[in-house]
Amino acid sequence: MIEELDMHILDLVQNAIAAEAERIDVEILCVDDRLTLRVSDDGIGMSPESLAAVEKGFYSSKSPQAVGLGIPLLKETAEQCDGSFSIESSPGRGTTVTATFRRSHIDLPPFGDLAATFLDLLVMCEGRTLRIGYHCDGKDIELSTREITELLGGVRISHPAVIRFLQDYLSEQLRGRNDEA
Amino acid sequence: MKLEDLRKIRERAAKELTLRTGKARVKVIVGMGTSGIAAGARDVLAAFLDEIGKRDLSEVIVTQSGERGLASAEPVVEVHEEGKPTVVYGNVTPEAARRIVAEHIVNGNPVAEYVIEVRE
Repeated sequence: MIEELDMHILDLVQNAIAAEAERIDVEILCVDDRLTLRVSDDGIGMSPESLAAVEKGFYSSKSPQAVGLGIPLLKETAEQCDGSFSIESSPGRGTTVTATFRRSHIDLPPFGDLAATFLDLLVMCEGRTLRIGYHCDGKDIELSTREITELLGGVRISHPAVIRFLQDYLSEQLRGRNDEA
Repeated sequence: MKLEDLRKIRERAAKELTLRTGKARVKVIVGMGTSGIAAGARDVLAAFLDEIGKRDLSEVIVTQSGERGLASAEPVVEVHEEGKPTVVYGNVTPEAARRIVAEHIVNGNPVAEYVIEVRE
């Protein structure tokens, strides 16, 4: 099951990739007791009919086998945690999914392994413009595939030396976060 | 640490690249659709990246795909090697991912117990 918040982030980003997005924006923001997750993309977007079906679940344009439960599960979790859920989308103009949660709610799932997830996301989105903003617990982390790709000048993000560097960099940036959970 | 330090890696990697023809020998595709993620694909992808980093495998490319219609066997991983049949692995755990790197990608012996399909 999708039991950690970072799995939802991966799912939303994969949806954006499936929607042929070039630009994907991931925002993780904590203000007081409110956590906001937002993933927006410039992909093909959805019609109002598709949007309604996605929110209900068991709908997916990806393939007949894809179950399409990622969005309803996220919605359910957000609402269960005194939060809110919204999707804005229109054909040709991309999609924005926003979920909020009350951080002190007992049912709030953990973030999971954010350092691993951020590295996964950077590798998944190599060749696209992915921005990740993480602003929680006194940490202000900004990552972008564009900046990393420019610094690397043609070397792949999944090059072993780059992987090792990013693993160390991300765990250093995120250190201490788990102590506060 | 500073992100700018990536420039140093670029300089070192550029020297390496000139010694090779540049084309990746192996491509690993991890299924990252909803069912794959729910079944543990996050940690499988992370395990592949970790092994590639540790073993310094610069000829391996890792990428992702969406749903492939193999939901009951997720996480699903494909290993594409030049001049060899494509091997599809199912029910891959992080431990299995590490074995696929060591036994298949490095030593050329697919990990039979996780193979669900071989495509010419």
